[in-house]
Amino acid sequence: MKKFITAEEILHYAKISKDNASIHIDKRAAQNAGFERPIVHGMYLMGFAQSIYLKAHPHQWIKQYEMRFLHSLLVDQEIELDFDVQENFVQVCCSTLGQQSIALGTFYVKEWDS
Amino acid sequence: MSEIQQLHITEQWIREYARSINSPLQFFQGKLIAPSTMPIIFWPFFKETANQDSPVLHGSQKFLYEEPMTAGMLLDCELALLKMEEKKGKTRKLTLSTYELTCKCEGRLIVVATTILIQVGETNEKIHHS
Repeated sequence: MKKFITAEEILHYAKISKDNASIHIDKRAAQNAGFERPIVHGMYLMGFAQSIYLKAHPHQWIKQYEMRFLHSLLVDQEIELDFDVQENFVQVCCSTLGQQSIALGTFYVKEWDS
Repeated sequence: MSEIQQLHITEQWIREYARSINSPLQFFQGKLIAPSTMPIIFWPFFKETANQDSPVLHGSQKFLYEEPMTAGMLLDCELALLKMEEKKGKTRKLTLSTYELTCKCEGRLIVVATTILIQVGETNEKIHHS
């Protein structure tokens, strides 16, 4: 699944999460930190990945979820999310279209009826 | 270091957060469930984490639930700094801080969220010569 993450989406996430660190919302601050433009919150990426999974699996509940953030992702960039489902365990890889891995995650899910 | 805050999980709060990450809404026993990653937005309610001037990077994040977090819950949340360790990065000193956020409702454990933050410091050269 591919997703273009816009600066507007990150501004909205920053407002709701109250994570207003300048590196996420201000171009100059991001450039001072060595980035071409603001970077996506890792937690936006983690949250978005669970959202995509649950849309496809609405009868499951995520009991455990962990993610390692490997590289920073600039706003206004497209990512690809790949899910590997093995029974109740799910692995997700977030990467850029240039195939650089941004984050790796694992869910443990339960069916609502189980 | 640890700090405790009591937080009321409202349906509106869950809906706003879910919308911000494009999450579908789920219900458990008729109550709206918070997306699994929602406890991370509890952080600004803790003094220790508010107004951090220097940028920090998120190294890793983990959520372990005992039961779903649902609308209407009044949570007793405790944020604790478990450990800090310094590591030598490629060019700069890295300080890794491990935090644990524990949320209970009426004494029942709901979720434990473990966060590792990375603060990038001085260059290794400066450290070596200081």
